[in-house]
Amino acid sequence: MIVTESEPSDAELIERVRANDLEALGSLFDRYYTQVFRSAVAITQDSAVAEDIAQECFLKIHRYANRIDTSLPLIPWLYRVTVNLSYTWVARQKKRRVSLEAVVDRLISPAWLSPDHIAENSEIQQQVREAIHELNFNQRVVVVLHYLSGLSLEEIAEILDCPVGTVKSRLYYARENLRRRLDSISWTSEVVHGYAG
Amino acid sequence: MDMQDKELDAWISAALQSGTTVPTRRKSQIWEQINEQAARQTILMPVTIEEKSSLAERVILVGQAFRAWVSALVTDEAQYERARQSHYSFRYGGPSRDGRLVLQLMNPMGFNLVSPSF
Repeated sequence: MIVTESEPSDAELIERVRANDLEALGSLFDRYYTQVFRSAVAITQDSAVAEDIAQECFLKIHRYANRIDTSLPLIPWLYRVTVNLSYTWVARQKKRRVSLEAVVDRLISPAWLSPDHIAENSEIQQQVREAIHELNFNQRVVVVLHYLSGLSLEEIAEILDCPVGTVKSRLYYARENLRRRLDSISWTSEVVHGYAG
Repeated sequence: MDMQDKELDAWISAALQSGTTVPTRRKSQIWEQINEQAARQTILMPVTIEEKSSLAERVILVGQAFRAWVSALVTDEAQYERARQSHYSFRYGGPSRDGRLVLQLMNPMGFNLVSPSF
């Protein structure tokens, strides 16, 4: 995120949060909520859960303000918290064994879609999302951070605290899995680019 | 058909980026909740992290510990003396049924000293 000169930096806002300035927390919320929420939705495929995760992230900024290293950018810290909270949720869900129907149901009619987006939302996009959701957690997180958040492999490695080679390998296998899954769908490049017919 | 890499990338990006809008009203509701909860929670104190000692400092520390151990081994006889005494000490002595003197030694193998028969 580009911060203009008039806007306080993340470090300045964290300093103010340390002094219990909730307006500063509000500024960070305005700045990063959407990014955190979108990542959480993409990982969990559940908008209600993603809202809770995003909320928890900002409460953690407040609670741990004194322990956040302001010499480093805030956004990797936020992504790390998002991934960890999402992992906890996914692990808990696995234990509950959510039915496949429930997952597909959520994918077909997500509550977070605006009417415009519902109109745009093609069947193929749903299938891509479904395929992404079927990836294992580690591969899905790398895909989300890379394709949705636009982070480099090095940045992802830093967030996940693992070697760049591991991130590269997870991304490679994720793409291969997605390719295999999506190749079975009969589609044409015209449909892909949305100008069929 | 085989998907080209760029096509696949475009599809993944499009699928992830579509539909994740946050209505302004919902966002402000969430902020209200965060604001309320943050007002109730306490900010944790900073954690002081001890600086890691350098390699040279660690080598010096290990050297000092080794020297102290060798010194204790060579000059301090108390440990040796204690071990020697306990090794040869016995807790019971007395005649056996056949009239021989038996000394039960404090050793892990349970050997006893038995005098020759008279």
